[in-house]
Amino acid sequence: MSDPAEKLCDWARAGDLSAASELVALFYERVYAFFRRLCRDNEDAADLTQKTFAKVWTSLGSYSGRSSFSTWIHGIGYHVYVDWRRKKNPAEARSDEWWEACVAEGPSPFENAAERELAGQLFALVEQLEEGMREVVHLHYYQGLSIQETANVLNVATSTVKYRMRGALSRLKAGAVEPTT
Amino acid sequence: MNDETIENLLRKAPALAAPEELRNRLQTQIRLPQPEPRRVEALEPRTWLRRFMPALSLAAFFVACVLAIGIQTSELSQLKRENEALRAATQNLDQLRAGNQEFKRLQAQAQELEQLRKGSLETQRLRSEVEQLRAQLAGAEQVKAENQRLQAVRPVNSGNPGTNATDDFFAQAQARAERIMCVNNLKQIGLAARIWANDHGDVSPMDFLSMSNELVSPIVLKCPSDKSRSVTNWSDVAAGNVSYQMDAPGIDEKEPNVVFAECPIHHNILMVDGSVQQMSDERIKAAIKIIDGKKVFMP
Repeated sequence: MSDPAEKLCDWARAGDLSAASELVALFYERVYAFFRRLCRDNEDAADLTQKTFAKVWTSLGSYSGRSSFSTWIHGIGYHVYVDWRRKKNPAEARSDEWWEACVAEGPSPFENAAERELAGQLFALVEQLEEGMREVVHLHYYQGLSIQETANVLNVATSTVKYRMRGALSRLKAGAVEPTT
Repeated sequence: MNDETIENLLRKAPALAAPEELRNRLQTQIRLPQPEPRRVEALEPRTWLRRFMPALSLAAFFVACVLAIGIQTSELSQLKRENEALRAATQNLDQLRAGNQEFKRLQAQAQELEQLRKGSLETQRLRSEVEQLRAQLAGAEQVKAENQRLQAVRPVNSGNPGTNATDDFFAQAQARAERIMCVNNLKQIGLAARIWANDHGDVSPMDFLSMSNELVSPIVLKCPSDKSRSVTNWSDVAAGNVSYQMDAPGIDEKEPNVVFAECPIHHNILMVDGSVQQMSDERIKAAIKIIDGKKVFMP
């Protein structure tokens, strides 16, 4: 049990409130970002994040350590999102400006304006992908989960994740237009 | 644009800023599940019986099953042994029964043989007596001839008072010899009748001619005192030249006291069992009763 999150989980399970606060500090941004990209709304993302952590606390006793804590919490978040999506129609695709407005403060990850323009175009195309492909892109590329973890969160086989990734990349390749410099 | 470029760009997706108040809100909403206090009774040492009750129950059930199977197997094997013993006893019983029947049959044959042997001895004894009497008769004939010769030589002047006495003596001896020969004949007839009955379901023959194979000679069917008949062969017998009278033709041998044949001259009677009774007329009249048309000797 080398993962510090799992140690914190054990302590929180034993009733350690500070460990639970540490877990919130470790994961709330990733969970919030996951929901915000999927829901495209700040309020909804905050609500879903709260629901996710509420489920985490009630289900903490059932965490057995078979997968990493990150995978486990993303799995809970994914199911919370699915329940939410069933109740509410997904929002329209956001514009590039929305993406610009959402980004956290700090140095830009893109090297130049052309790359940033291409990335914004790709991100917009991702939002137009089918649900399964879009979830795979979000979890694997945006959230940084491995293919195995993505498969565990979605409760599908790794081959399915790979298949959806290949489909998403071919769609994005077909849809993306090289910017003229 | 290749896949690697797209993947790199996707991985460079900018981190989205989360509101700080969300963190505070989440931390204030932490509701950790209270760890359940360990139940006191769970820590209390369970009694030995309560702890091992399931195992003991299972073991007791298993032992009971084994015991039941063992008892049943034992009873089954015992029943099998008894069955085998009864079967063997039944086989022995059949053998013993067959042996007993064979023994009874042999015993009956032995008795019959013994009776025949006695009859044969009696016949031999009578035959020897007859021979002796014949010899005596021959001697008497010789003495008689000598006596006649002496009488012829003796002067005729006086009467002969001893002649009648001598004749009476010889006549009596002759009559006694003939009577004994008659008994002998009846004995042989009885023996032949028993041999015939033995081959024909223990029933006596219907006539004397039926016993032609059993009788040594047809001469025995003629009483020596019966001067009116001459029996030399079986054709004479077929013609009815028999001195003896058959009183109970076809009689069953289970009635041994019934008179089978008799001599009308000497009144010797031959019983169904082969014995011959030689007695006076008065005694015969007193001893023989007529029952169901049969003459039954009841002394």
